[in-house]
Amino acid sequence: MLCGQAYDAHSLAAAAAMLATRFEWRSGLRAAGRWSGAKPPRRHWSTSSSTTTGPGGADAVPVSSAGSWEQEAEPKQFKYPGAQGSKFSAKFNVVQAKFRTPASTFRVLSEAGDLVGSAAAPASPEHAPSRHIALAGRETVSQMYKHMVQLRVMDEYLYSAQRQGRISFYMTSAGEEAAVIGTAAALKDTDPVFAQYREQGVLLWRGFTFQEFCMQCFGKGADKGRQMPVHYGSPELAFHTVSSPLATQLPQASGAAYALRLARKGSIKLPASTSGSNGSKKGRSAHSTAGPEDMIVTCFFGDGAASEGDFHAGLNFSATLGCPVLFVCRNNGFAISTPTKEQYRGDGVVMRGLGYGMDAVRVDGNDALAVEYTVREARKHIVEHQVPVLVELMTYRVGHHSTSDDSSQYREANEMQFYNERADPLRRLRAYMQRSGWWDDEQDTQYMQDQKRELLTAIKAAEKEPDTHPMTLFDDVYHELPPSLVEQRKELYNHLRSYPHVYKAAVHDMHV
Amino acid sequence: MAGTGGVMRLSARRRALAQGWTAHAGSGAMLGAAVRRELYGARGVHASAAARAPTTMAVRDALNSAMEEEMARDSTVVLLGEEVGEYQGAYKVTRGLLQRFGSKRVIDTPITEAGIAGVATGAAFAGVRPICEFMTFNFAMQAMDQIVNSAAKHHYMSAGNVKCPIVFRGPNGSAAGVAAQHSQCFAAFYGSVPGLKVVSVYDSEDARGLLKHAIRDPNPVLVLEHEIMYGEKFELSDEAMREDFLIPFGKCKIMREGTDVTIVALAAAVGKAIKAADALKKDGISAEVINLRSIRPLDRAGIIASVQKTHRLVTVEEGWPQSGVGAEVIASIAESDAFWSLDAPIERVATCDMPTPYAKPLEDAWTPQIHDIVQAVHACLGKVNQARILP
Repeated sequence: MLCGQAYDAHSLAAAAAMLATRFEWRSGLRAAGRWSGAKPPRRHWSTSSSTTTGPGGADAVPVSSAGSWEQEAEPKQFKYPGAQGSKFSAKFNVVQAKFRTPASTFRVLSEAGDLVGSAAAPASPEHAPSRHIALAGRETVSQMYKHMVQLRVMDEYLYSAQRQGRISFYMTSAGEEAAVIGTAAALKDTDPVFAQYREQGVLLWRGFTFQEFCMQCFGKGADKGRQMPVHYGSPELAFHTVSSPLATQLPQASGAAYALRLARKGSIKLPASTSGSNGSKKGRSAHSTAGPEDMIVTCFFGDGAASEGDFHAGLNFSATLGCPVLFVCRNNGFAISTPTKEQYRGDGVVMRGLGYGMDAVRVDGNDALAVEYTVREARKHIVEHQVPVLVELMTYRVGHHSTSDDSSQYREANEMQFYNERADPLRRLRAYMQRSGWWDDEQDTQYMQDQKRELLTAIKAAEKEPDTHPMTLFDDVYHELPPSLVEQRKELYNHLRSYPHVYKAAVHDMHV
Repeated sequence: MAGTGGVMRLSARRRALAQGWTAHAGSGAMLGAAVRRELYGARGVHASAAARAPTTMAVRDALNSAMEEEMARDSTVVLLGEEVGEYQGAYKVTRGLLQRFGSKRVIDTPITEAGIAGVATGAAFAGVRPICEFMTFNFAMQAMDQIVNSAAKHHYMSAGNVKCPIVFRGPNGSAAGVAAQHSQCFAAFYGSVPGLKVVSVYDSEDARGLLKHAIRDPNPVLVLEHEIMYGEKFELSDEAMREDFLIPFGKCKIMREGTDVTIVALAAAVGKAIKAADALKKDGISAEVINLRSIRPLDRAGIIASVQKTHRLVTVEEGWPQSGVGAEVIASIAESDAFWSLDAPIERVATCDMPTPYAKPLEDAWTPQIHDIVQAVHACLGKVNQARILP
């Protein structure tokens, strides 16, 4: 039924009809006292019709492999356990990948910054009139734009700092500002985030200061100089320490979301620091405290990381366990030098979600309004149904992969220029704001100058800060200092004390 | 335990399932109690200490009792792994736990070690205390990135902000007739990683005390068990049956006191070393047998003290010789004051330097046997001249 056809409202209606017959024998089971009963979802969040019941998530029939033969007293039809809803068919129906229409990319802003679709004109033929797309208002949009500017300024200057030899490494999010800031704006500040490495915009949104960014890049930050630049972490801002191996964060995010699920059901009680009671640093109280019943975990990754085995494990687990996790793929066209056409043959990353039984949506990642709206809706769905959702943000990596990369080696200069001009997320949002009368060129220039000045101050201040003390070397290997390291620590202490003229700064600030 | 008791339990489960009974913690209590009676004998754990005879328990049941007690004590402890729930554990180590604690806390996972370890690690970051079971540590190689790069290192990388109170457990080392990809010992692999704690279980006392401690420890801990030892029964003291029985990490145990030579072993090799010591006694050689228990942190002080007493050392492991646990023990002795106490070069007993073969005569030749340990002790005491050729 779903083979070879586009994923549309008709297929969903057919699925609903098929599920309706399942509901009959389900109530029979309940009457016989053989099934506890779970409510099927009444309205599917992604369809235009309000009465369609779509394929359910965690609320659907829990199929136990041990009891599949027990579901019907007299089986009406023969069923294999592996595909319970599949009807037998004498037609040879192959799911043809190449003739499938690619999933559409949701956008509400044109490249010129005009609203399109039902967001602009309710009577638009593309969208059903009942589907009202409630976009973010002036305050949120202005905040998003300002943070996007901050992000771009910070990226530009820290990239230059690396080129000047002041820091060793940096990664920019040039071209992807709307994707990350738009997502961050729609989450609550206390939602735990597992990032990949190009999501510093989330931290910026939540209140991480330029000073903190620079300190980490200079190896003098709150992480005691343990991590490479851009490998940020902040428990106060619910941002998990960045892990370099790609996609390791996907199953971890599923696990953290499962912990939320357990806490929500009262099965366990999470420690206060992880249950979101800290709130955001800058006291952005619009989305301050939340308990586990209103939290989701968000996991970012790129189109390349989606090829890793952990991607499969993370998504499969989240679907089978029913974890309230939002998977956000920044499909920016490249994984270092590997273009997406060499990374996968399928229709991007969004369609893989269906393979795991999870809802998925593809969005124009350079349209901040569409991103914010999508993530806001996805979040609501996840909280209500306790199921994972996959969001694919289509975007373009304007910059190099990192400061260790020179992308002119594998792509044309005019390609970067093309995307920079046509798809620049800042220009689009600025045009929208200016058209709405919320912003003008003068404010723009002024704001950018202010941010540049602030950032340069932060860089200079971070450079002047003392290096992380060598005595911190032994901390945090374990929860407690083991005896072997106590000895080694004493040795270092004595060594530093023995040569004070060499270790001036370190000796000055010493303790055992 | 594998005889009528196992059959009875399985029938009870089938009966329960046929009645459409679903697993809650409440209705599971009945089955849990029945299982407990099987495990702990008629007296059970609630009998008064004075009236209790010494308990005999197989290693798998000791592990089971440790997990059950810790899960009852702390509701944040959850168990994940393949076949741990409905199937009662691939080696029946997790028998009864699903029935007692429910499917939210005892999770049958899809087959992906990287996923299991990753999900467990992420849950640990979020404040849960997961026990992550691997069917064998051979399969855990697919999860090694999560174990080493994430679980072991995050506390350090985050400057103490991200905690990972996780336990990875499962059978390690050789079984019998399961060949190369099911027989590797990973004690040395993981023992080299700072940030991890690695312990090795020999008998039921180790099983209870080390696993309980591992579950309560706020650090990531690997508990290396041994498939062949699962069915072996050992007597447990009253002390070992206590709910708060924890074996400290970094302390080895002297299984046999001796004066002529120190034999250091881990896991199943401890049993062989004890039998070798008994055989050596007949030759008038008094061998001290040490059960390492803790690979990381290694009890260097304990081994040094023993070598300073006996002046001779033999290490025994069912793992590969190069860069193995024995290598670390010997290096620690060589760089310590115990070096001056040595009367002879140190002997290493390990497997042959090749992947495990399948055929029994080949596998028996590959595995260190009791006579290999006896031979090594004789060589150490200068009674046998052995030319060893190692690449």
